[in-house]
Amino acid sequence: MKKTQYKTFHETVYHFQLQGRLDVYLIKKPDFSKTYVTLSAPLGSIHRRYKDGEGTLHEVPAGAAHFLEHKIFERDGKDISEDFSMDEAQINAFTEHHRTTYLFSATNHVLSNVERLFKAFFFPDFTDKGVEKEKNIIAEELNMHLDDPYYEQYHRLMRNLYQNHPLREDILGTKESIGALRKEHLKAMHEAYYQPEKATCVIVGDLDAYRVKAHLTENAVLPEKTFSEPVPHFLGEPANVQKEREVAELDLLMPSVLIGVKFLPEMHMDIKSRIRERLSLSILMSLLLGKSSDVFERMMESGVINDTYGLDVAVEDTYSHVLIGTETEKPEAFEASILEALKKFPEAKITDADFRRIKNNLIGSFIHGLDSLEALAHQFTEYIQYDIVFFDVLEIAQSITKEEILSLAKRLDTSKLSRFIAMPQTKQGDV
Amino acid sequence: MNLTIERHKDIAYHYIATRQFKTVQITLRFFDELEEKSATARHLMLSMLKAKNRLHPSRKALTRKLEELYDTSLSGVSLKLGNKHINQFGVNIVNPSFIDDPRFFEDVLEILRATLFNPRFDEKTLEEEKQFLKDYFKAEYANKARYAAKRYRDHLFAGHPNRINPLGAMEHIDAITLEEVEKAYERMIGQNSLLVSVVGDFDEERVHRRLRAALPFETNAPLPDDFFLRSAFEKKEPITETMPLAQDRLFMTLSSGVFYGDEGYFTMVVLTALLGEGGDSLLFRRVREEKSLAYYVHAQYRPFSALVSIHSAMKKKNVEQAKALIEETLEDIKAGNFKKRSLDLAKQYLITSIKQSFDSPRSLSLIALRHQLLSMPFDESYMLKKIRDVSKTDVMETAKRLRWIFTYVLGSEDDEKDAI
Repeated sequence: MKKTQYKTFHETVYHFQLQGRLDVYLIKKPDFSKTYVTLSAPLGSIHRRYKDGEGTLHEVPAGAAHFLEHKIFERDGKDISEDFSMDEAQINAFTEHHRTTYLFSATNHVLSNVERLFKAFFFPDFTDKGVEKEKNIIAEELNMHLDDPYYEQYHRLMRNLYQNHPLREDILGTKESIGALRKEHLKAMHEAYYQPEKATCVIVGDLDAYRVKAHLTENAVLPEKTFSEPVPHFLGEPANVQKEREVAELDLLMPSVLIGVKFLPEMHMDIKSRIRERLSLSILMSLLLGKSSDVFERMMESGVINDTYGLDVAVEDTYSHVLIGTETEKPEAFEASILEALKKFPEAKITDADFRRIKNNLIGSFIHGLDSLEALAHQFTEYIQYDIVFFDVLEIAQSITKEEILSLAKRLDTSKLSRFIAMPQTKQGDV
Repeated sequence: MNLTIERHKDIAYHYIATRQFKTVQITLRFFDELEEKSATARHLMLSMLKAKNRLHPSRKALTRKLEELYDTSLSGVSLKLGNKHINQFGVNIVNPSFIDDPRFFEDVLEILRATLFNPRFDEKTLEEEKQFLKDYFKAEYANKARYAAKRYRDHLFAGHPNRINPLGAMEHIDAITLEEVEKAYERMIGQNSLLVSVVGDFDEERVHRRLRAALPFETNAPLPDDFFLRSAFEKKEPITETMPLAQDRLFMTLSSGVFYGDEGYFTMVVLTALLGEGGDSLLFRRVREEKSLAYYVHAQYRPFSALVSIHSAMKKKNVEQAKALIEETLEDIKAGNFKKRSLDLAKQYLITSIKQSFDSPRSLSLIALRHQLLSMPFDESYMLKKIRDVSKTDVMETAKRLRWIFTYVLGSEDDEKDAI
């Protein structure tokens, strides 16, 4: 058992490996009555391929990761969520582009619930009947999104921003791919991606780590090793975007603009440098396009944006982009303002006061996150895949210099961008 | 953890000191009567207060100050509680013990003081906020799930005070003048009832002293004691509206006659959970898991209007089957045709939720508010006992008193738009 104390934040992290295979982390949270537990597999919507035991490559239909997530809590044709509920736990699960996470929050019987979660996660019980039945439910989940023009706008922008990357596909898949999924696909993807060595368990709560380890060592059952392997998704994404600009009429009353700037990740960088780059990009974007920036103020003053304006930075292993969006009656002025601001990145000036302020904000935001067991578990999982403990991230962020940010602003190619403008539908009779 | 209540004249101060959190949350809630035109003015006034003030004369200046103060968040929201309108302001800060700056807490209080006592009301900001509010109402149309819920509420509460949106109404926005905003402000600061709450790890006496010094409220009205919209709901004819949709949205409504804190209140809470809260509820099991008709279905008890709303979404061809299934499920509850395990699961769901609510600063502040205003003990074990004490007979008898009063469907005219 490794115990690490982070005295600045009064946080303690314990780490042990179960049977030398599954990494378990426990973040001690005194006085909380709730314990939050996550178990994640490195299978997201962008993963579609695996190699079987004989080394043959296979590809499954889109939406497999999400479909699998729907079926994990089923046993003998029944949902086992009520077993968790009776033991004071509420379960949930979600699929992201690069990961699937199963979780529960419990106010009692945490260890028996962890065992139950391991059993569901490592020993699923897929049936043809269960898979067929679930297709209607997932179809309704997809239908729900079809009635949301902002969801459509995001997806169409992704399709325009990327040429080949599986990010172009909906996490849920398409009606065709959902229809084509079979029990065998789920089973094969599970065997390749849901191995204890590849999974991560994070427990956040007021528990005795030594007791947790002793209990799980004695009671948790892990599956035998399989010989199938995950296959990284296709990496041949060109730097250029698929389509630079698209205007479409959607069922809304006010135009909405979403701009995506694509940065292909530097594949040669080591992990620490990439984390540093990711943090630097967030700092740079906050400074130059965030809600305290001069650009924001100018757009606000001239009525180009409203309080729906937002900025999102996504940096993962194989993709990296910034999304900037707003609802606006002046879509063209918004596009022009952002394009101009991006062009001026190389000449950006950052004062010492600006830089201090943004660093303070970063420290504050980090500490705020420690009060949410959910946010803490997810952030911890996010960074531990790179062998970085979340509590060390702030130190990395604090060591970033103003010069590094300015240098990033100079070398960042902000010309690879795509814009999706959603316009209200022209009604019949309108000119 | 303990709740300490301090009073200054008619203002209540709640201090919930707990070592769980690394942040401190300060919330101020101003209560007034709920009325549509004044709600619009109050919401615009609140939005202007949180946008800028005389000390921080632009949005940028205020945002920069908040960033400098370690990601301090300043929020302002308009809410309603029964027949009362609430202007709620909040600051969420890092616990000062983490910050190596002795002035930090004073700086935070200075922002709060500037926000509430040093406003900057001008025509330009008012016009901006009016536009944002109009944009907000327009955006309700875009997301069809949100739009359907709005149409449902409009129909259900037509002619009833509960129809009032705490953000006001589109038709009143243009007419609101700067003078009305200023009057709404004077009334809020000087005459509204006020409840202040602080949650976190701090010394109560010290924080109380500093808050009182920074925010010198003096003339506020006593806290309200009647929140209920007791006007009866008449049964209404079902309404179906159409627009191109991939999925029809179904809303069904039951009237219970049981309000918050009434004798049957906890039975209604358990009954609603059994019917349609969470993945183990009867409706989730039947509508989603057994019949695969919908991705979600849930029931929500509205204890200030004594109604239960059931909401789901499905293909047009499945709407009638879903309606029948929902009605049948209620009949089964009335007849006691449900397993003891289902009732136990509903109670367990509520027990887990109640216990978890004591881990959230926001929930703690609300539990204290309900204690103060609605006489609900600030005591987890009291609530858990009340839930556990509800019997199968209680649930059946209460279910028998429920009446279906309104069904609303927002759906496609014929075949669904690209639906699967």
